[in-house]
Amino acid sequence: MWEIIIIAVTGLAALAYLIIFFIRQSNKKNMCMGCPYTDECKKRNSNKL
Amino acid sequence: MAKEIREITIALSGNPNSGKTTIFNNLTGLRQHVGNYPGVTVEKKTGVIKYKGYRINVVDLPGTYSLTAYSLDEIVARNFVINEKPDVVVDVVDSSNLERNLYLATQLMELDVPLILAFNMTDVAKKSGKKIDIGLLSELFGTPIVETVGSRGLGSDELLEAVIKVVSSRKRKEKKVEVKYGEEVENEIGKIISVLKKEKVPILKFDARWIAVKLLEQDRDIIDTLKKASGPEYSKIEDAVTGSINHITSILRDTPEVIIADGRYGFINGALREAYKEVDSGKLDVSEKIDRVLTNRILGIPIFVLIIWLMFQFVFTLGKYPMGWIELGFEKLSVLITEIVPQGLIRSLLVDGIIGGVGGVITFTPNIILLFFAIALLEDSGYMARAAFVMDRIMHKIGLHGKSFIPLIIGFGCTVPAYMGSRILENRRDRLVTMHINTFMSCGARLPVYILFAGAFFPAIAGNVIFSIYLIGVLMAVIMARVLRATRFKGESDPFVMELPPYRIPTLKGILIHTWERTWMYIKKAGTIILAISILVWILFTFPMIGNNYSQDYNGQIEKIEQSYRSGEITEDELNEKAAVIEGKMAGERLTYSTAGRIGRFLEPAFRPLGFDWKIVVATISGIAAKEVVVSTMGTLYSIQEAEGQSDSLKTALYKHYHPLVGYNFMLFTLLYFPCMAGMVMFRKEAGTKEMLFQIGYTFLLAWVMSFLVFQIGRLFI
Repeated sequence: MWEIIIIAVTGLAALAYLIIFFIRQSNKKNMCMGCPYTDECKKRNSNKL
Repeated sequence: MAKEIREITIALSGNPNSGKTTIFNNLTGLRQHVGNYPGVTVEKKTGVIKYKGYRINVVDLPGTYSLTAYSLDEIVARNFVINEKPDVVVDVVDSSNLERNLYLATQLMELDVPLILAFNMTDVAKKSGKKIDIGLLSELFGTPIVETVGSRGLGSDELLEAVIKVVSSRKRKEKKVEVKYGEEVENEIGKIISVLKKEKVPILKFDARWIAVKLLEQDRDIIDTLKKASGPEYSKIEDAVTGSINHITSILRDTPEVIIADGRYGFINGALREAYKEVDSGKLDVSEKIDRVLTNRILGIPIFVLIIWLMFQFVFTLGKYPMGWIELGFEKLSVLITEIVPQGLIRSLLVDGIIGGVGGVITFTPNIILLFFAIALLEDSGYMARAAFVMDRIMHKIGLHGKSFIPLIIGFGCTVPAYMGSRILENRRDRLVTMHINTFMSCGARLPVYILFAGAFFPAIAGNVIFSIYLIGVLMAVIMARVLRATRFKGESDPFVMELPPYRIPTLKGILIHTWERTWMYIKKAGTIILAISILVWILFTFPMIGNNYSQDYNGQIEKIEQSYRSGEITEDELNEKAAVIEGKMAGERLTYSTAGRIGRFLEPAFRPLGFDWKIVVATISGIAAKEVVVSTMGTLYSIQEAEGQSDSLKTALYKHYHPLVGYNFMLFTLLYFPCMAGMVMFRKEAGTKEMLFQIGYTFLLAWVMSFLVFQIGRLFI
């Protein structure tokens, strides 16, 4: 039983993390989620954004 | 006289890469303010200097090649000069590339504003054997010229002195130098000016000659402004301008726009012939020598393809060794956890869910490091700009803007910033087509999927297989650009001047920093999003639990085998082998019974014609969250399915279960369907819900149709 409780809590935490993550990202003005190019992209587009 | 003016405003203009920002930083130091130009999202940088009792405001205009109305930057720059009337415009010119940089200077001269030319990077020009007669050139252009070396902070004081001198003497009428466009064009300019005067058109703050030139160039922004200002009277001007354009075109067999541009270049060439010499004339500098080969009309594209092919060979061949070590490390970790944690759900979550999932993604870190290292090397050396130049011709042929290549290249790293990078295209049609085809530029997140599948099914030629997938992606982009241009997004693309910075030997520090930044993002993603998704995927693969609902009495079968072993009928090896087969069947039934199994089975009929079973269907769906999740899902799935004590690598497991044709087909499907959820959120932000839905729909359909064709045709040969 305790195994199920741990898994339920872990699963809910993972789900909550993903939901919050995506909501936060979609509210950001310039979303650079998981982007390896963030800095360069900002530099490249500094005159355009 | 000078004491009357205590406050001066300078506008800094110049081509991109001319060193304008360095000069701006040298002049203003930390006293900078960043804002936006009113009404547009173009960044405006301003700074203040106190020099010899003057308060000098410096405005950094957007870097532009000209002052036409092709881009927002150009319109912003010229409107600032016209409307804000700065006391002096300082045009920063790259001395090693005078011909192209002076084009902007000729346009500023036409605006009739107090102008100073800052010849930057004169040290580089001198080193490469270029001799510039500054005095003579200054006379020919009718404007002061100051030599600067921005990188070493030289020439800033001289520049400020020149600014003060120009401002102090501005009431004295200097000799104005005008670019002449030849008799025919000059006659027509004269005619248009007289119509403007006769019709009393409010020419606002513009110079009449400049307006006439712009009307002949069919400058959209100026035409719209005049239309608004003069109302119905504009039709008379329009008639005069149309007559002039027709006349010039019929006589000179080219549009006035081209003739005027030629005139400006003619003026520059003439001036340079007088005041500029290359000491080793005929001798090419290193960049030019390399460019002769790399940007050659015939060789350019094959060389580009070869370099990309070498990049993938490098990524795969060199990456497989550390990849093997990490794989071994995770296997050992799994064994360790199996020994420490008692059998049950928690152990399965740790071993199958987290290590199988996240470990599967982390394993590919060396390949990601090598890929980003190679991209950083190509970018920092200046080759990427050449690749853009080489591809520019092709881009135009497929109906795309040359600038599109830049976001497309970014797409090889990550599609999300590539969508955002498409903003550099001013025209909405160009932008949307570029965004819609960017999906096919295979992003870094898909690489682990390719490495896994190519390594499993085609170990001897994995590099070539991955290269072929990338190539198909580019080919699909070309075809779809053509199709979209001919259907949903008809129209011409705008012209564009491609910037070619000189080749540089990249610094190791620079490359390592770039590589590390990108690699760290990959690892961070694996430790956060991929971890969370792996846990959820494991839960979906585990619950509801099958309990006693197996289709056969597997426990009874195992019991029987064990009895046979005890009675000496079978050996220990045979016992293990038979038990593993039964345990495998049990695991298979457990997976089928789970939520993910049910979803996969429900959708399986739609994917059967592509050769995909329900497991691949689940992996495909999970890949919508992020493409690396395809690998982690497969890792979890096969880790759960493996019988206790059996430790096939994921590659071996895949090889056992699928035909190589299905493996290749799956890579193709992964390449073609839309990148990920984050990508789609960005797409919606940039292009709206309708375009995002179109993107999802058409890429999924295309992926299905292509995979269907490959599988159905391919199976005829196997």
